[in-house]
Amino acid sequence: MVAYRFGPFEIGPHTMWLGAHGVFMLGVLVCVAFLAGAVWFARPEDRKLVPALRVASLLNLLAMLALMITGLVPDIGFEKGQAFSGVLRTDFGVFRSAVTDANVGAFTGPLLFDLMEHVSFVVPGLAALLCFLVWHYGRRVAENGAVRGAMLSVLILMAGWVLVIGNLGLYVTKVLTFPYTR
Amino acid sequence: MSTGTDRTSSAGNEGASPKAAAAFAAATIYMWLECILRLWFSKGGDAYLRLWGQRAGDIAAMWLAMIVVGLAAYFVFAAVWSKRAAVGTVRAWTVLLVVSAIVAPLLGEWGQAIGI
Repeated sequence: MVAYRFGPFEIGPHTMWLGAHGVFMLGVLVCVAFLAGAVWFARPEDRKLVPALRVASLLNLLAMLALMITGLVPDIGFEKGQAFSGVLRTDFGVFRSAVTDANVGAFTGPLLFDLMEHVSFVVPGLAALLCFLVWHYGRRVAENGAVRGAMLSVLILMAGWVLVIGNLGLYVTKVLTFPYTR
Repeated sequence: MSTGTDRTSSAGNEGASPKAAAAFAAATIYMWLECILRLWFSKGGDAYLRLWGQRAGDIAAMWLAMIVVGLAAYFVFAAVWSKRAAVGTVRAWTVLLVVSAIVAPLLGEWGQAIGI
């Protein structure tokens, strides 16, 4: 895949993957925010809400799967030590970025970096269960306290893990790759 | 299984339908499989048993294995419990899942160097 220039910006394949990854992350957050609010405030008479809950839970699962895949694919190049490198020449100076598996690992270590990669598998599992519960229980999501509590627990847990893993991802992709001057 | 519409009185003793219980059980197995595979791969497990050897391949293979085993577990449990009216309570399954989804992935990282 070639890189494209837009004025001072050069957008290469890694930038595109990261952009898509961020868009899917936004989609997940929108769906989770809607689901959490809708389930929290749902009342037994809110049965018309169920189709919206079903669609939102399915969209959430699909966005989560896309988020995972767009997060995994750019990782393939890490082992070759050519993960991210570039030079940006502006009126303010020349900025360079060079992030490889070695220096990412040196900053984050196996615990944080690998935790981001592997623990992230937990979240789509929770999203799939959430989607199943919404489709299986239907209007009882609005009627039954136990089902509602289970859904909220899964949502909170999912949001908690997304917060942890998302912040690790932000650190690796936005902080460690921030251009520096030479 | 309770079919009441009260939001609070049925909380806690709501029986989980066989399919819902199977889904909870499959999700719980999925969580613990992440822990087991992570420990296996990071503690010098036989690399030849991995689906493919590249670094990202390990990650994808691990996820694929978790999905396949989780789906298989769902269908097995759903079939085994299909004749029952309820299998445990929704609250008990939720507690088991929440504890598993927090503890299992953290145990899977046991022994990793923080490296900062």
